[in-house]
Amino acid sequence: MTMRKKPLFLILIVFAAVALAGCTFGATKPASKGKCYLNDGANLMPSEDEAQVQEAMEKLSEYGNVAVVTTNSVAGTTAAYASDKYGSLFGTESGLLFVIDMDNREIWIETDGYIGRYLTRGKCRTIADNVYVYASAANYAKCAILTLEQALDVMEGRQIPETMAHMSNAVLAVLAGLLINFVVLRMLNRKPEVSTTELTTANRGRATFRSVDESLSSVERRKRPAIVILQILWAILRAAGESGGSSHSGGGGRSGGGGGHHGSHGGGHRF
Amino acid sequence: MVGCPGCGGKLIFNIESQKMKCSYCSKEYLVAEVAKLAKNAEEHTAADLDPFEAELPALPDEPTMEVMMYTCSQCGGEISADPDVAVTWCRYCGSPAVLQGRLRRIRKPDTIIPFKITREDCVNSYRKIARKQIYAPSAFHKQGHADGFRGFYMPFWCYDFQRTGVFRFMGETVTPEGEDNVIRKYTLSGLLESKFENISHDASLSFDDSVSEHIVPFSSRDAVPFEECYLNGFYGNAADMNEYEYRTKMLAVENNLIYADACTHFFNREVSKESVVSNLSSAIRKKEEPEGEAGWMQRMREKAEPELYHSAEDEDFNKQKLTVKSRMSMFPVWFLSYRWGDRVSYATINGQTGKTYTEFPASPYKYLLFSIICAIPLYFLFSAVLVPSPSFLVFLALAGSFAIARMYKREVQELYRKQFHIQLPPEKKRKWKSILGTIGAIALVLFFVIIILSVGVHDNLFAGLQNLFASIPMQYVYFALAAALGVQYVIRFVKMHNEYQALKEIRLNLTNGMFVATALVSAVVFLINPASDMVFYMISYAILATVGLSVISLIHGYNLISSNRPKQFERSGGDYDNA
Repeated sequence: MTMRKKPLFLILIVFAAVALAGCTFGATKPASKGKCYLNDGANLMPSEDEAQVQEAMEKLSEYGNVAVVTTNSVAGTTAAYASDKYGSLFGTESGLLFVIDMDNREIWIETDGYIGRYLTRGKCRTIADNVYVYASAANYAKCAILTLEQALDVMEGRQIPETMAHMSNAVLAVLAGLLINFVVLRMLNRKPEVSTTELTTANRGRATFRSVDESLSSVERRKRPAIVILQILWAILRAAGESGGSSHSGGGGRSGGGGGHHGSHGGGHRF
Repeated sequence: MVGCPGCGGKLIFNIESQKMKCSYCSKEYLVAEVAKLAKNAEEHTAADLDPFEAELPALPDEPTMEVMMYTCSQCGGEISADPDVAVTWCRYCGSPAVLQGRLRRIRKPDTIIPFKITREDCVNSYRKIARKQIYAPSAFHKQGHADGFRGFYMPFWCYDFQRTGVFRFMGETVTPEGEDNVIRKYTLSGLLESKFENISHDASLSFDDSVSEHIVPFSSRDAVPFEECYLNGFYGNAADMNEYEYRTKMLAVENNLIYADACTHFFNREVSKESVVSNLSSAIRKKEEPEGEAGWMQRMREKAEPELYHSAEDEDFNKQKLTVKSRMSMFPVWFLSYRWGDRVSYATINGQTGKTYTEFPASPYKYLLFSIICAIPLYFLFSAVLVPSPSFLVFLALAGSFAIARMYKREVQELYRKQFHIQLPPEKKRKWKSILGTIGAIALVLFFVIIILSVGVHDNLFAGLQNLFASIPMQYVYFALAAALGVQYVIRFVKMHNEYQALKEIRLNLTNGMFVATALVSAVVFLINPASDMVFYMISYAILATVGLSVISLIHGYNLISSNRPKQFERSGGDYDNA
């Protein structure tokens, strides 16, 4: 392989590796089945629809715990509610929680554990992007069923529709391509400037300074910029930490439930 | 023009041997020998001179020489060449035409730097650069294109500056002590003696300053007394600017050289450039040369002694004496012009050092092709790493359009400076001295990095960071950014419209207007935050479309910068003018 082709080959290898890293394969079913929990607190689903939702939950529960919750009242964001609810239901066990929040008009998919490894934040968001239209059309049962079906597809290694994600990435790729090429174009055509060294080398001459007198005219103290930046950043982080702590204590239940800590790990969509 | 002493054939200056070589019998002669023969054969005397016949009037006691001047019928450009050469190409406008020639008497230069770089070296150097120009139109890569190089001798004014006197500069040191920086300012004074020779500037109006400034400097070490035979085999230009035109500009160069020496001498004190320039400028007495015959008479009087400047005496006895001498020299340049449409692109190579200046326009089709080729692997990379929600997509698209807007503004400035020959202000050291500026820059970078990592990147890579920002309602962050960009675009729109409205070749308002519209519409959409994704996707496609149109504008502007409109010279002295 010629020297010129080596870097190109290496770049292609890197791209292929990164692209493959995004691929998923089917999950293996754990030994024990998970629990199913359905709570239609907002009364969005008729009883016959609840049966269908239950059926979809049973299929997914082979991979972990599954819960579907609807609610009319949420203090704070849907994501925070889902995180707390998941913690109270399943602690740190593997599972999936689907929330329809009529207060914020948002759906949210929260996952953790073994299921969370496959149903990543990105996948949750993609599924939410695919199903939110049913919630907008007030077809909440179908929204939930479709969510569980697509989650099952991911767990079993099947592809789910990601049209908009592909189009978004295509838009960004074209944008980046246009920008990068313009930068390359300008770099290839940088005009040589004349440096002072070139001028002094090309022409005879110099300046000499004799009988030099140095006198101190003023002394000034200024705060070092790096110190100021660190102080500001520290103040911001402290303020963020304090406000986060107060909202946790206002929420109560999760830390008192003793189930351990469950971090937000999901995706949602407004409807 | 004297022929070969052996066979009478034409003598051409040979670059490899630096001697005069007969083009028929290949015998070589020293330049001094041929010059002596030419002097003996000369019939015209200086007493026949009409001082206002030539472009640059020669004074009665200045030596002159006769050249065959060819004028292009398309643009009026003039070049000198051997009398027996049929000049079939104009280097200014690239027109292929047989140029009409007539004898002219011009001021004889004082020195000349003969060609050191051969035509083969010149062509190889150009081809090496052209190979990398992947965006250039195919014509620039065609075999034979580089063979169009012609050797030119360009007139330059060379200035010698000599100073003696008292200097007074300011310097400072910055020492970290605990949490503070201690800044100590010093006054540096003493005796200054400086001498700089051969600081040069091209003396031809037709040789664009923006081109000549990029191929200098020429080293005076190779300069020899001028002899006409050096011009054999090459083209030339007559000087049409007098030495006073560039004196102030060359003084600025001399100031920079003194400043550089001061920085070296006072290496432990950061010398302030403003104080150096201010102090050196105090040695200059402003002189204005009258126009026309009065100016010519003044030059005659001052020819007796070099220019001498004094500073006004003041209480601090801060005075320097500055002496300026000037002379004309011919410098070697390899020149290639390529005409495409109504524009001309030049490639210029310093015939002594080989320093190259090239203009390569960009083909929009090649540019778009390479952009799409680049986009393919990027698409796979983004698919693996990025998780763009619709609002995040609009955010990134806006960030991209911001980058394009910045590039667009810089390009407009560059085009404006080139078109109207505006000099850049003295170089300021780019130092982020203000704390606010430093914080702002770092905060902006951190902001973009955190947003992308916390919102847009695949899970589990930055889960901790994502949890930290999970509770932030991102649409308000996006709204703030879009609104800030919208306001900045509006300010920029108004400023650029006022400053650069003289630029007629580009659609300034259209491009800037698109940026304003997309930023403000995005801000409104972020504020409303509709549930439907299609609104965000439509906005992002609209931003992409505006970016695409802006990139076409950018390429158009780049091509204007990388080319020139052929100059239209107002020349008199055609065959029927003296009838």
